[in-house]
Amino acid sequence: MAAYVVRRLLHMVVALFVLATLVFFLTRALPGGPFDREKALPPEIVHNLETHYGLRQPLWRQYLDYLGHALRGDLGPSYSSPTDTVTALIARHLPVSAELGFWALLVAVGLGIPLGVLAAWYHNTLIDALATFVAVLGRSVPPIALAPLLILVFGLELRWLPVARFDTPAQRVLPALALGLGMAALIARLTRSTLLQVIREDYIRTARAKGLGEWRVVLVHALRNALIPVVTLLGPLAATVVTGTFIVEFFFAVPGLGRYYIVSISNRDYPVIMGTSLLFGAVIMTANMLVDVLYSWIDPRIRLD
Amino acid sequence: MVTRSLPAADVPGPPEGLWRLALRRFLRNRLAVASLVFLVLLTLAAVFAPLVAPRPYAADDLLAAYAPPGPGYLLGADFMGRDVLSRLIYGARVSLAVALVGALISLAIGLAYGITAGYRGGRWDRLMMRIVDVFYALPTLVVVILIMVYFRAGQPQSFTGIKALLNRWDDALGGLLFIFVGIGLTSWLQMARVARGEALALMNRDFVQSAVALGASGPRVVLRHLLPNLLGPCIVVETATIPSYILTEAFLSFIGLGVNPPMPSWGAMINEGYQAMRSYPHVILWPVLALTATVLAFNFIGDGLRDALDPRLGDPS
Repeated sequence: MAAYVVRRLLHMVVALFVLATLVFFLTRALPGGPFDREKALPPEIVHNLETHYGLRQPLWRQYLDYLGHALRGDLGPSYSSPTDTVTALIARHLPVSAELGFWALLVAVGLGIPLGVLAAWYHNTLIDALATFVAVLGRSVPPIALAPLLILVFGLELRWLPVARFDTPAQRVLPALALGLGMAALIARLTRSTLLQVIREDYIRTARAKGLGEWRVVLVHALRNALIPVVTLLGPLAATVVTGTFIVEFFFAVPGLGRYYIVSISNRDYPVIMGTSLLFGAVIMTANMLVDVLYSWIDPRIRLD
Repeated sequence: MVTRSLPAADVPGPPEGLWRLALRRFLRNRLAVASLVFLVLLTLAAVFAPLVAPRPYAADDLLAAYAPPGPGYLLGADFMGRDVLSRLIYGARVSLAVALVGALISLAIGLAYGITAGYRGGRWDRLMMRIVDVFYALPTLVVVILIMVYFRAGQPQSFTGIKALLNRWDDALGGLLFIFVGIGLTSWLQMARVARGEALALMNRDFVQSAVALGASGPRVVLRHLLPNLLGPCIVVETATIPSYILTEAFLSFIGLGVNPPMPSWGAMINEGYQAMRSYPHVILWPVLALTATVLAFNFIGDGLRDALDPRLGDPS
């Protein structure tokens, strides 16, 4: 177990290192420097600025510096708002995205698990077929299509909910749905199929033989074990939350990091793009690792390799 | 007098092959067949777009900007007065090309890499899969965005050598080349893992072991025994992955890193529609529906293929 965790950690460190290297060299390969202006700066000033930002040192030295700074949480200055560092921008926008991600996960789990239980409970009936169909639909309508649909239906047509900003609770509903419904569909599907498998196990028969009510058998004995594989979804879900926020925050004008990422891509604000990419990568990789470790800890039958 | 015929199963006949059996099972899945018909029609419309589309995709008429759906413009017109239906049809070219090329690249590289690792086994396998593990850990969309930012940065005329050549080809393809590259660079990793797992399992099976024991050459073992037997599961996985290629392209075009305007892409159309969503919701609705229907169709076909090719994988029912 310990050896496995250590190996996974090592993997992650190597992957992060690869991502940071990719990020660094892509940044350097990009045309144009931070000091390009409409009106050319005097060469002496450019020289001084380049010295100040360490751009006149050999590439390997810059690379090591970048890694060292990144490790200490310093991702350099932003081009488009020079008074801000990338780290400060991230600190300002990340909490909003994290909150949106939390609500989305709540939607995913809160809708997905009941829907899956319902489908398994009424297995092979119309309700099951309906729940399964809804799940397939949810899986196939990605945020880029779901967000405008939600805005059109609930915001502009029915006028039930606000379609932009992120200040009041009501404004959080549609973004959380846009981000969470697809994941709810995945969870529902997996909950249904694992629940149907678990129901056939001996200990379920024992529980029934003891005379426990059907509700208790399914919701306590079966569901608890059926949810184990659902944990594996949390890794991919973290990735979905992170990349989903790009689109959802954009559509709903949520001032989070995802929207800022898209904006800085349009602005070609390279340090922000690179720093944020590094952060997103680190978040997704950490989530994946935690899920794998958590999974092997919950279910000791999983072979660790 | 009526003679009762025997039930079909009792009649001895030539045994049905795996693929024929799979085809029969697939054809029984109505959703999957309907999806296939939809995609075939979409493909035909995309291939023959100049004949099918009512107007050229870039033909604008500012007097008709945001025209509602009607006889002149069946699905309405966009902010430049371009026919939405025509742009949808041409946009299907982009989505389907990405689906096809993404799948081909992923299968070609992933199968070759994965089978090599699984067939070689031992140290080679460990080394090759360690490399895949590291790259697999990288978040796909972020890597694709970085690659696209790199390719799309700066003035193309300042490029030299190979990058200038690539840029010319990319221009000729309306910006599709770099999308292919971005998706291709990341898509084969999963396929390599699947193919390697299947190849490794097959290498331990008796029929492969006896072929090896009889002195079958490497290429023979790979082409005759491994490839045909692992193709099924790999195709199932690939079909399930195709929607993610389509969505990646839609996303890239949505944020302006995808196809070059005025070439229409559903993602770019969603962005254009978003700008005027409050007043003219029809402009965003059609590309959203087209994208959803296409992804849905691929998912239904994927499920159908999975049930047909490998019934063990399906949901218990």
